[in-house]
Amino acid sequence: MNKSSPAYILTFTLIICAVFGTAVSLVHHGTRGMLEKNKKLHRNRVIARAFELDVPGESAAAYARALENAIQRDTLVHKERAFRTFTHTGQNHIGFVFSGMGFWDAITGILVLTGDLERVVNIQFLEQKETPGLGARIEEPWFTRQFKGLRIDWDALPAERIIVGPSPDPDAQNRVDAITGATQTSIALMRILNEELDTFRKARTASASERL
Amino acid sequence: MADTPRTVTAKALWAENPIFRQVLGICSTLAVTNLLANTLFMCFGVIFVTSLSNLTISLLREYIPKRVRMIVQVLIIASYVMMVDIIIKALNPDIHRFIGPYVGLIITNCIIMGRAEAFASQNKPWISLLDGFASGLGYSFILIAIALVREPLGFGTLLGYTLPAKDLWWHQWTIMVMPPGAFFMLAIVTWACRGLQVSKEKTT
Amino acid sequence: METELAGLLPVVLIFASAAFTDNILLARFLGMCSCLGVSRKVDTSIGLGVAVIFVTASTAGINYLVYHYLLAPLGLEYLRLITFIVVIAAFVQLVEMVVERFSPTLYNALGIFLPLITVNCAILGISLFMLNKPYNFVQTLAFGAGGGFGWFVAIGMIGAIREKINEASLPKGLEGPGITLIIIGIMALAFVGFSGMVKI
Repeated sequence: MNKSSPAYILTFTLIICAVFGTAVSLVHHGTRGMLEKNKKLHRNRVIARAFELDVPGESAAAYARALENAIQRDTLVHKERAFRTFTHTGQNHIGFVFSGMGFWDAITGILVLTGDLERVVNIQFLEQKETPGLGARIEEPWFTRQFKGLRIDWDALPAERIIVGPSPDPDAQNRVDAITGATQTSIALMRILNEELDTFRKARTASASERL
Repeated sequence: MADTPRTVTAKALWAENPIFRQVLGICSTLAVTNLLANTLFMCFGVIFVTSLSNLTISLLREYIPKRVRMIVQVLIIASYVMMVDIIIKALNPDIHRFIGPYVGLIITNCIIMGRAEAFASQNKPWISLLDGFASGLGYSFILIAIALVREPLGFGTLLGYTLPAKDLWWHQWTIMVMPPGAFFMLAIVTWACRGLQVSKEKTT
Repeated sequence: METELAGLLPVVLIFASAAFTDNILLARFLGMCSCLGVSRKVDTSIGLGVAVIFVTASTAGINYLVYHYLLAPLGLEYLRLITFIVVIAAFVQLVEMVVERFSPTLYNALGIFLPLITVNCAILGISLFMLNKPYNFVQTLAFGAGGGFGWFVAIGMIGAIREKINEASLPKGLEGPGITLIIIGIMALAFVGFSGMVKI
């Protein structure tokens, strides 16, 4: 067998591709059920954290039950955009899933607002792949804590209703501190939040007038 | 060239250290060394993958045609990384949320490719495994050294714990958090290690 | 929303933003290893840079087609990392063979750089980033070429500075990679100022 003949090279490459491709696919399919369960648990945990629900224990069933009791899930469709929304049946709070492009990859999360949309109640992130140690710090409590009770300045320009980072008025009530060294992620997050807030309010007004 | 386990380890750790002698694997060095915890995750991943891929490529070395060896090596490395990634994701998603972002970085880490090409494709399996493991270690100790400087200066913490008397001495040094800080630190480490090697050569 | 935008984006703007504001080497810090290894002289830097432009533009295009017409319809998106890197390695190898056969002069000039390109993380990076952007095929080509051009500009400048610095007397340990890292660090600081100037 001649090792440098085209036939050998081609066969060898094909076999290697097939073997390793199949191996990865097998592992992927073998774990798919677990992946989906994990994903659901993660999602429920983030929602519970965003609404600060009391969950007895850490099990998936406990989270599912706690959410079922307290949260009503809906979908809000406006033009081509569909928002997944969550309403807390006890308090008058509404949360929705926002998403947009960060510095490296998509950032998605849940933003909880007061019923009149005037203030932010909480923010929690579902997925983000920002730089570890820099942009990825948006998930850390010291950053998300700043959003609690943050006023949304609906009279400001659509891109500046929530400000992440420096602003001409340092005491502005709609401002949170950016992450040092992660300017790009901070700018991206500010853009995502403002765009999504604008669309979400439009969607809500439209659906309210339809109902009347 | 007779490589004994001893010389292989010594070379990979110091004399031919992947970072400051061969200048490989720099991209990931820059990205992850601003927090020590991130660095440890990355080092663990790299040691694991260099060892395994070196072993596999060495086992297959008689059969890999020379012309396509790059493709084959890349494929083997990428498959290992993906499989490990998927398994961790399924078994422990919480850990995966920390490790996930490094996966892409591990695949393109040129240390792995470099060792596969320079060592595993010409040597026996077990010694290749050792070489992969030792190269991973040589890479790790430089990264950890850099992280040990960057995290305290940039954040005033170590492994996430606030250092004592932080208020007295710490002033936010933003450049240490950002990638350029890694360039400067890496330059200093390279300078120090190479300087040591140069002075040793002079005395002997 | 994003699809409306995609039709209007001028190709030139995509090219410029990929080349300068989002410089793959100095703003995203990808493709460092081969840069440190090769930037000793301007000639070799330019040689590798040209090869990278060609390969990034072509592989971004190929990977775009592979992803949207092969992987996505089959539901195999999770294989994209492996597929992309194999496409890049195969493409580089193919180019090497073709160039070797038809133009020995070009092969002598570029040949030694080609294997280095396979492990250049900038190229894989560009193929992965393009998936996040709402670009069509032509815009993807512009994005790939722009990313490669940005890398070319950066490595060219670094090569030029290194040629000058070779004439200075440096401490022995700092020669070579040490001083190059410091140069790149300072250049990266300068490029931080660029980031965010052109927004897409």
